[in-house]
Parts: sequence; C-alpha cells; structure tokens
Amino acid sequence: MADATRKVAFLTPLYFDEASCLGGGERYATNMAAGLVEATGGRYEVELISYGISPARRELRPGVSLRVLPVARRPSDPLNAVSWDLPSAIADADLVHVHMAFSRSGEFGLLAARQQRKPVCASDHGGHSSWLGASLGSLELADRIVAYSSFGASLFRSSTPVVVIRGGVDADRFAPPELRPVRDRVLYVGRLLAHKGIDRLIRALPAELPLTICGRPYDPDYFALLRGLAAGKDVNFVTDADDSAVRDLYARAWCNVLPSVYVDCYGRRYRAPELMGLTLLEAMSCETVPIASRVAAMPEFIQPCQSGYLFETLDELTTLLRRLANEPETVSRVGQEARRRVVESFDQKVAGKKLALLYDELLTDGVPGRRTIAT
Amino acid sequence: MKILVLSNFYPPEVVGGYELACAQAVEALRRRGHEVLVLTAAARAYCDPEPHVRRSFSITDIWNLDAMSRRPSVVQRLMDAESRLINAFNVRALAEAVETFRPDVAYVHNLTGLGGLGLMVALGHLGVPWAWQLGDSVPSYCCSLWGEVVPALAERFGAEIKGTFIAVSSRLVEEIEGLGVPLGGRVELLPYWIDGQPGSAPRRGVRNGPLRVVSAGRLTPYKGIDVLIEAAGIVRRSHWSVEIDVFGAIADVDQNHYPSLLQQYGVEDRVRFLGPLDHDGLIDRYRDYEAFVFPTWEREPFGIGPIEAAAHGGCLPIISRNCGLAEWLVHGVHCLKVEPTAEDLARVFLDLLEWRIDSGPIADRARSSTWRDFHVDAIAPRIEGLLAEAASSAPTLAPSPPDEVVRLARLAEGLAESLIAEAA
Repeated sequence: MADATRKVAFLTPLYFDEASCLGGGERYATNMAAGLVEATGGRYEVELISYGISPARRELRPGVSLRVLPVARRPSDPLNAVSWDLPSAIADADLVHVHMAFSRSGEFGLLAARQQRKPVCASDHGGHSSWLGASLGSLELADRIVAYSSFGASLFRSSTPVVVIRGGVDADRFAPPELRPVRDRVLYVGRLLAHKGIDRLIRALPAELPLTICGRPYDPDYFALLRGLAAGKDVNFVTDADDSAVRDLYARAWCNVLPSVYVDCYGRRYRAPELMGLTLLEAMSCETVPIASRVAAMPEFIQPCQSGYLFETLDELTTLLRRLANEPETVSRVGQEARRRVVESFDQKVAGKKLALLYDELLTDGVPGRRTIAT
Repeated sequence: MKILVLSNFYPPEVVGGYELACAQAVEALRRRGHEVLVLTAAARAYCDPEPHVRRSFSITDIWNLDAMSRRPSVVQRLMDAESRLINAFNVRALAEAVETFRPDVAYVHNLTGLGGLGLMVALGHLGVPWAWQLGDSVPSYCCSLWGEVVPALAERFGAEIKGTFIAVSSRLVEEIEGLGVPLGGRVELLPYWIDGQPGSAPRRGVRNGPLRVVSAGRLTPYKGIDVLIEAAGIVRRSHWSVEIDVFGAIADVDQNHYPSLLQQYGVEDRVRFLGPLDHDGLIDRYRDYEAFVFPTWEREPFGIGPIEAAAHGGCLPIISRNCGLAEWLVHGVHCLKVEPTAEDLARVFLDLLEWRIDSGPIADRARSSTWRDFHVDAIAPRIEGLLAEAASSAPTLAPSPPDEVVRLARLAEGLAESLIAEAA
C-alpha cells in the first residue's frame, strides 16, 4: 500500500484559469496539487474537480489533472456550483480535499465524500457563499481542516483538528530573473477588489514614484474609484497580465505591496481579508520586497526588516516606499532573504511534503473517521 | 433476532396492500420468537399505542393531490424531494431507534414519503444490515425528482445501497432496473402473502344464475376498471349476465367517469361501485362471489386481491397476464390469465357462463394452494432466513456515530432545499 499511487480529489468550485477565476485561492489549490505530486515523487496523484458549463478533462502537469463537471444549473454565485456527477467523480479517490468549504460546492463535497466514507480534509479560502454548512457544523464531518496560516486556523470553530501548512507558492516558476532589469516601480499584484485596500496604496504613493497595479478588475465601481484616485499620479493599470508578465513586473519592482484592510473604503467589514496573500509570497520568491498591512495572516509570512515590511498607517507606507526606492542595497538584501524564506518554508514542494504527511496519516489509519484518527 | 422494521404506513393507518403485508409479516416474525420494533409514520388518526410500534417518522403527504395543487410550485417541489430523497427528521428518528433498539437487521418495507434514499444511506452508515421488501418500485421512487429518475442518483444507488432485496415479482425487478436503478447486492423473489385461517369452503352459487364477480383495489383506469365495464357490456350483448361488484376508492378520474361508462355500455344494473371497505370487511364479502377479477393493464408488481379472494372466498382468480401475481400462478390450474382487454375478459366470462370452463376445480386448487404456499406463516421462514443471512453479513465499514449520520442528513436536506429554492 505504501508504494501504491494514491488518488486525491481536490474539490474546488473555481479553478485557476481564464475560463474560471484567477484568484489566489484557485492558484493555491493548483499549486498544492503540484507540490504534493512533486514532493512525493508521484506517489500521489491529484485530480482537481471543478465546475463549468461543459464537461472537460485535461492534464495540467504529470500527476495533476483537471476535471470540469457540468453544472446542474448555473448558480447566481459561482461558488455555489454543484453537479450531480460529483459523487461519481470522487468515487475512485482515496481522499477528498474540499477547498472553499463554506460554499455550496464545498458543502456538497463534504457530504458526498463523507457519504462515501472517504477521508476528508477541508480548507477555507475566504469565499463564503453559503452559511448552511457553518450553521450545521459541516466541518465536523472533515477529518482534518487544513489552514495556511495560524490566523486562518484561529477562525475555525470546530472540534476537528486544524493543521497549519503555510505557503504553497511555486518557487520554480516565480524565481528571480537571470538578468534583472532596472527596478523602477512600486507594484501591486492581485484582484482589484476593495478589501485589498489598493485605494490606500494609491493615496500613500509619493508623487514622484511610479506604481503599477496589476490584476483583474472584478468590481467595476472600485476600478473606477482607483482610476480616479490615480489621476495626477504615475499609476498604470495592467489588467490582462499572464504569469510571464507578472514575473517581469516583479523583477522590475522595488517592492510588492499588499495593503489589505479589515474595513474597506465603502465601510464594508472583512473578517479575513487575507488568509495568506499568495502574491506576497510570489513576489518574495522573485526577490521582490514584500510590504503588507499588519492585517490578518500576512504578518506570519514576513519577518519585519529582514524578509519584508509591515505597515499600519499610510504615513508609514509612504516612508517605506520612498526608502526602498532610494536604497537598492536594502531592496537586494531583503529580497534575497525573502526568497530564502520562501524556498525554505513556503515553496509548494515544502507545503506538499507536509500535506503528504497529513494524507499518509489519514490513509494509513485504516478505518477513516475522525474519532478513530483522533484517538 | 432483533428486527427493526421500517414502513411509511402501518395498520390501522392503511393506504394499500404494502403496509398490510408488512404488518402480517411482522406478526409472523413475532410468532416465530423474534423481537420486532416497527418504526413508522405518525398516524393521522388516533391509534392505540402498541409497544412494538414506534410512530416517530414524519410523512410528507404528497398523495393529497388537491392539497398539493393549491401549494406554490416551489413548495410542491420541496415536498417532492423530502418525500423521495431526504428527510433529516426521519433520519434522526432512525438513528435514535437504532441506538436504543440495537437491531441485528432492518426489514425495510415501503419508504415512499419518508425520504427513503436518506434512510437507506443512514442504515448503511449506522452499520445496520438490511433486507428490503420490494412490493413496489420504491428504489426508483427514491432516486427520482418530480417523477423522473435522476441517472446520477440511480448510479450511486446501485454502487452504494447494497443489501438484500426481496422482490414480489421478477417484473418488478425488471421495472426498477429498466428505469436505470441497479439493485446492488442480492435479489430474491418471494411472493406476497395472505394471513388468517381457512374457514369452511364457501358454498358456490347456482350455476344457471348470473356470474358474480368482485374486484377490489384502487379504482383507476390503469387497474382495468374501464376494461371491466366494457367487458360487462359485451357479455350483456351476448344475452348472458355478469354481475360485478367493485370495492375501492375512485382515483385519478372525475367522479362522473365511471357512471358515464356504465351508461355507455348499458350496464348500470350489472356493475356496482360499492366504495371502499376495510380489509376484514372485504374478506367477509369474498364468499358472495364466484370470481375475483384483476384486469390491470399497466404495471402491477403483484396483486394480492385475487389470492386473498381465492383463500377466503373460494373465488376463481381471473388475472391480467402482465401482473406480478401471474408469475406465481399457473393458467388453468390456479387461475385464468387474460389479456387486459374487454374482449378477452368478456370471452373468459362467457367461457364460464357457457360452461366451457369449469371454475370449480380451478378455484378449489387456487384456494388450497394459497393457504399452503402463500400464507405468511409459510413464507415467514424464508423471510427469516434472508434476514438472518443479511444480519450475519459482516459490515465492510465501521458504523458512523449517530450524530454524524444526522449531521450528514441535515446537510443533505439543506442542500436539496437550497438547490430547489434557487431553481424556483
């Protein structure tokens, strides 16, 4: 059994693709799948199971495939997609890992997996589209909850054990350039959404520094607000970058700023604005200095002044930006330490190895079931 | 053995033969020394408490078509799903019964209206082996929504709901599997049964009088009632007389449907609709007739009426060739089998009236073989054997704790509700 290939189904309502969603949560699932397969030398195979209008199946890389199940009907919220085909799709899996647990997709996944008596892990990526599972304690049905930060772990109210596996960035893909271009800008990478606090970054941006804002504008009103704030400043928006373009931007930037907020510019509150901040880690992996607001999970990934910086006020941010723009040696030193930290602790292979240990424990325990495993 | 019986209805709450047969089997198993607990739905009328009957299920009443039609569409669909797929309240009741009664095996009967799919899944999770008495196409009902089998549900049913199925006819098995619902596990055929004790042989009627025929059951076109009326008309035109008494409640048609048919075929004085009678009353009346006719032309998994009438009233069973009972009786030996058409039925009536067929010996053989082969005490040992074998089958997985089973059920119910509400 130890040498047999084990099949894991990653259930995720959206997948990292133009056809679905280009978000950190989606990237994370793909990376963790790859990391698991790489770290175990192919001892594990992962099928990412997601939803779309038409069924599809393709290999993403050796050992990692994507299966798109046809939705029963198009839901108002894409996180609420379900398919009658799900129970059959997971039937051959040895273990099911439900991503986006607080969505209807996640709830259905927990139900189908537990119904088939499979070991189940659950993760929350911050997308809450259904409160049904939370109200019924659906996470009690999981054998383990996998969080990617202590902050994320602290949010769960469940007797199910929580395992923290930080990281999950592809350090091979997001690597420093062989020939680094001139660093000449401040950078933001991520979806253009209000809880990311990009408006604060623009406000804090010194007039003399250029800023590139790279990401998909999922909220037209907020995007318009950002454009308004950027007027008169050296800000450019890149809304269609692929990974290659993003890597190039990391290479050109002094720093990558993730200024996420608990309360956005519209007064809306967020309990968990960043459970990890994957773009922060991708920037670190490219030796680009990370700067994050002291919010949610982000402080867990940055050792202040060594592998990045944290800020609380806009004045602090403004000062930091000016300093980095004028201290190339600091940028280089902190950037290198950031990369070292990523390779050591947050690379997808490192995270994948930890995930494999968890799965091994669940799968070798004989009868799957939380109580048995816990005892 | 400790046997937990699951049934949607249970006497005195009776809708049809399924729950009567259930109660007869329960009493037979108790007579054989088994400890039986019946878990059934709360009765709508008052019932005297019985220690071995726990009426803690909730039934989703989808049979009251008039009331259903007045409900908003989304409510109808929610009730439909609750009736067929999952009712968390009932799963909780089952989990509690399993926890307190600790059965060796579950003997499952009709789950229609109880969220049967969820109950069967729950039995698996609770580690209770089972045998499912199939008197109707309940598995396909449990894999359907709004009357249509959901293929993905049916596929998982076949893969996951594995146990012993006791079907009353092979045509029922074919029907269920023909709807795309595989029966995973063991499938055994056992006929339905009668209960009671044989009385004295009834005195037959005067041979030169009219042929007195009875039919009973749900009075609806697919049960062949229209065909029966038309056949009476053909017999009348042949200058012979058949008198047909029909017992049961009219269903699926307008109240004027049958009076107009009687008028159309000129048999208002030959066919009488006598309304529903309770089971005991019906059995007493069978002695008044020479034949029980059962001309159902659509699906009929079994058809207990003809052999009850044969046993208790000495009636000749005249049955449709395509009913389940026809698999268990031999034409010309225990019964007369007919095509469910007016012409074929009339031909049999005329054969009897004109003495081309002597009904006496066939009715006598039907009566004696029914008491011998179809009595519940004759069949109970076989049921007992199947239950014992099911009980001794080792569960492949450890039971889940009851709180987890109920949590799963509540999640399933909530998801079904949210999907249906969103679709509306």
